[in-house]
Amino acid sequence: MINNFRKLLIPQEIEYFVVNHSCIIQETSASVQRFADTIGDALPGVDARICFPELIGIENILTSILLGQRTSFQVKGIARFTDNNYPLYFDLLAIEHENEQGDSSSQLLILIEDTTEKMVMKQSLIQRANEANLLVRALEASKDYINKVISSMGDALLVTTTLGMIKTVNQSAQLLFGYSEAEIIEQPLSMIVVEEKLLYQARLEFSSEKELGTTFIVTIPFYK
Amino acid sequence: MSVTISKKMCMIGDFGVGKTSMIRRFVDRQFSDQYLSTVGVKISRKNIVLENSIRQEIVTAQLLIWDLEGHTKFKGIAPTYLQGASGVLIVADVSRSETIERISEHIQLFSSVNPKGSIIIALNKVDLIDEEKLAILVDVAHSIGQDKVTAVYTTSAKTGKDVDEIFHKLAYTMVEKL
Repeated sequence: MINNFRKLLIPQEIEYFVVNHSCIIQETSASVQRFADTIGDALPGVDARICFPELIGIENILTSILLGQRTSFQVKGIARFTDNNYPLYFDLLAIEHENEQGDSSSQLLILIEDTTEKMVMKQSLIQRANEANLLVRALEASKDYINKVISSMGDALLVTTTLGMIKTVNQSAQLLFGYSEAEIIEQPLSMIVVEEKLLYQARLEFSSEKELGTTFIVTIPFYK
Repeated sequence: MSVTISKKMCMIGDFGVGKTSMIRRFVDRQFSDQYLSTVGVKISRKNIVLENSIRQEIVTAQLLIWDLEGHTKFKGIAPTYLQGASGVLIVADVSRSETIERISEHIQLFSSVNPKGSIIIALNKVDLIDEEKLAILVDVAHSIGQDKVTAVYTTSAKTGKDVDEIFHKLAYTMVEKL
């Protein structure tokens, strides 16, 4: 490893290992073991694919870097943990390795950058976003279900504000009173229920057991 | 004679469809109801013996299972993760129709990176819906997959239904394509 290059990596907290064309480790930095899948195996002479299984399957890509057909290959956000309480994430970058004289030597330099802090923050944000998304979906499904029950129920149902303005009307109520939904919405309840006594009773029921925010529900048994 | 063949496979699909839960069921024989979203990629290994392989020797497949961050409306699946994969399990949640509708998008993405890769669809969380509805969804999945998909399985990471079977099927298909 070129000494100057090594000095550049230390403050960035970047670890590395060098492999030959057969993926055998030639050289490693001091703390690269921390990122190995099987701790203790990232040693010179060992097949790098044992301790870094991310390299399995991409041998052709690594060869194309050695042949100069490609400049690099990167895998971001690799998680390496068995215990969720102690997460470890890193980015892996493979580039051609040059020796001390600056010649390419059929070797690859694999750089490992610890990205745990960034990825843990990202996980927390994505977790919240995804949970919110699932909740919205569940609420939509629940609303859809309730709407189906209301629209298909046999009893006429009206939802009004406390002042008696109609907000919701189901199919049975439209049939019973002979108005379409467009005609009845935002109209006063007195338009269809003229009996003051009935309205009074409905308000009493609302205040005792059927409170729903600022609306109340009137259901009228509908016998065909 | 016995031989071990290492194969990279990926799990892709929308977020929250149960990709990680399927891997946990298959690799660790565990299941948790708690949802923990995956970010980046987590690689798991599992060796399985392919007893009825068409090859003469006993084949052990070492599966490298790449559990990828799920697709969301803000972020798709990065093609880099799919490079070098011999197969993919595309996972959808039968209780969320939009995850089934997006299967064709996932097929297209995987095929564009790995034209010869094996593709199997997992309709997961079948414990949440009735059989009548499930039959319709299976037909939909078959019609989406057409000739690119090897098989469609109905799975449940919760009960374990067909989880081992789907991984074994993909392993066989990947090894026999050699």
